[in-house]
Amino acid sequence: MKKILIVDDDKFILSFMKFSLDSAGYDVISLSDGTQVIQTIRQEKPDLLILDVLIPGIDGFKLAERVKADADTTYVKIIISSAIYKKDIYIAAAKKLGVDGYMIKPINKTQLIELVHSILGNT
Amino acid sequence: MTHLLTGQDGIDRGKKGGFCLMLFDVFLPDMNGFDVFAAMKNFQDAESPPVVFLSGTVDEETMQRTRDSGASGFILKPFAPESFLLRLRELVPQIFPGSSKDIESDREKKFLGELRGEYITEWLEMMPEMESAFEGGRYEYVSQMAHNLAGSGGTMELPFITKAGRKLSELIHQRQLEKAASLIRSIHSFFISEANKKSSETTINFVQDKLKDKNEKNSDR
Repeated sequence: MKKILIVDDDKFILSFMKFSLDSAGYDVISLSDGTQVIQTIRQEKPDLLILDVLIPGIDGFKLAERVKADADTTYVKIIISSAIYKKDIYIAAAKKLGVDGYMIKPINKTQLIELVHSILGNT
Repeated sequence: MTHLLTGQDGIDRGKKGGFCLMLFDVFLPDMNGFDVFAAMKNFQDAESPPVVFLSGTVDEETMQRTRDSGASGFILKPFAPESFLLRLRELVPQIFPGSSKDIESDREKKFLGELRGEYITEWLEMMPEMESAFEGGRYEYVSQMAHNLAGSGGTMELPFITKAGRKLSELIHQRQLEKAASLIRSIHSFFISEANKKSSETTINFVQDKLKDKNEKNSDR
């Protein structure tokens, strides 16, 4: 079973994504802030990280860069998520960073699962 | 469907078999439902059909006896017909052939409905905070809240909230404060009216709700 780590400070979005991806057959773990992300990836070895870049107190892009740069965590696939705010700048930044996907919130279940399937392959 | 009024009749008829599901009231005039089930099991050589207990009251002992008896579960009375069916489908999906997809979508509807309800309640509570932050000139904070609204409203099937959140971010960014203040009021009214709609709906998970209430009451003592 493929494992996904979701990082989002909105607990409703977290519950929604967890429920949707659980029911699509993924093993889902989550964090509500950015402080433990690298450590959690090292311990839990998820296949995919879904990272909200606008979580308070941390720059989501810098965090994604660190995940990519660290030899222990560089393998993990990344979807950046954010609401429409600074959309074009953010999408450009995400592309430059070489992440695997970008999700503009709000999302629905079908969009979420399709994006995750296309990156991880069907389970 | 066979309907019997006493535990003894239940045992006599149940011994003959031929049922795909048995529902036992816990409090019968002559004995209790658990004993009926236990007595019946002694006579059956084939595998027993699924059993669900019904009762107007629930306590930890009843729940424990339900689990120990090997029954599929427990349904609390009174119930609306549709809640009863929904709960029965959760407990004994095997007697509803070909309906696993329906169960999945019922489960999803229920989950999303509850999540949406919590979302509305919580935002309704947060709106005064947003208003006072705005009046106090803490625009960065209001912007963060607007951003959260924009990112979540559509997912909670509240497209107005996504639109309003986006617009509010924009207005604050451009320092169009009068328009922003009026939009915040509209968002607040919207949550009030959604919360009023919500209170006319009923919840379904009555067994857990009731147990939770009971546990809370116990811990208050």
